[in-house]
Amino acid sequence: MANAHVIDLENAGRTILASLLGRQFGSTRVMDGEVEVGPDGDDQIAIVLRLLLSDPTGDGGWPNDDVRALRDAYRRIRLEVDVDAISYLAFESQRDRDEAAGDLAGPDPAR
Amino acid sequence: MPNNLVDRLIEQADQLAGTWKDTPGRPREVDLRRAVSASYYALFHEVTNLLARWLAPNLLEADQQRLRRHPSHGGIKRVCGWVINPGGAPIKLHFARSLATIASGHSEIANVAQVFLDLQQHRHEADYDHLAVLTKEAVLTDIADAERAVADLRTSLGTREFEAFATLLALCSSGRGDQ
Repeated sequence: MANAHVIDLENAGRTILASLLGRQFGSTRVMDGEVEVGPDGDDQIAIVLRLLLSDPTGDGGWPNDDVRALRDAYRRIRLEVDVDAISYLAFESQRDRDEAAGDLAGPDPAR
Repeated sequence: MPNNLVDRLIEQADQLAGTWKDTPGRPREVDLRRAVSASYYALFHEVTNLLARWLAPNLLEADQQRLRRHPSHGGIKRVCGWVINPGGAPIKLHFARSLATIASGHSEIANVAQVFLDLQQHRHEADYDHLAVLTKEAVLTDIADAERAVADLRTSLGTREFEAFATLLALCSSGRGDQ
């Protein structure tokens, strides 16, 4: 059974996520996202916001200014929500997600 | 001030990225993991480098190097967490909340703090979580984040917000980050 603290953190994470969903930062849009609450690398209970961002143009990552504006907005929302835990942001794109899924599926057996 | 180790780590991450930046499809998993690790360590070493130079600018290089071993990974994480959320600093450390509030007022330092937290967690996943799925675009963004955070930290030198951040690091970044 999840304890009350974890539930509070999940709710806080969902509130932050809801405030970011659909927002545009430069050429980058927050399309979707997930909230995970669990131990981080130091076994501290933490919130991880995994944001699905619009595909970056070109072969690089997202524009630095877009990511920075997103982080600024995230920090402001975090302070409003008053989260009592460490939290992390992670990004992925639909294109990257599709490629990763293709890798996990393995080679096409018909080949 | 440029730091050879830091700049070389960024260069290493860039070179790893360079081998697959223009290549369609997914790069080798091992290259992705090493690039994340190099990006994190570039920022980690710049934090300790600038801290040592700020604390003891007249010490010999060798003594400054020893001083750089004082902050732990977990300790810097703890301080960065306070900068993101000053209310989370313990009340018993009466100076911590006010210093964290000052530091958080500098958008570059606040960005450095969040990037440090994110990169440290990504590095844990890259180095220890064999099931973690690393994606090319996310790793390229980690590299760019680290490069930008190093530049941000360098430009914040001399500001009162940097002094607040550096004071917190000097006093509170030894030992594990879970206190």
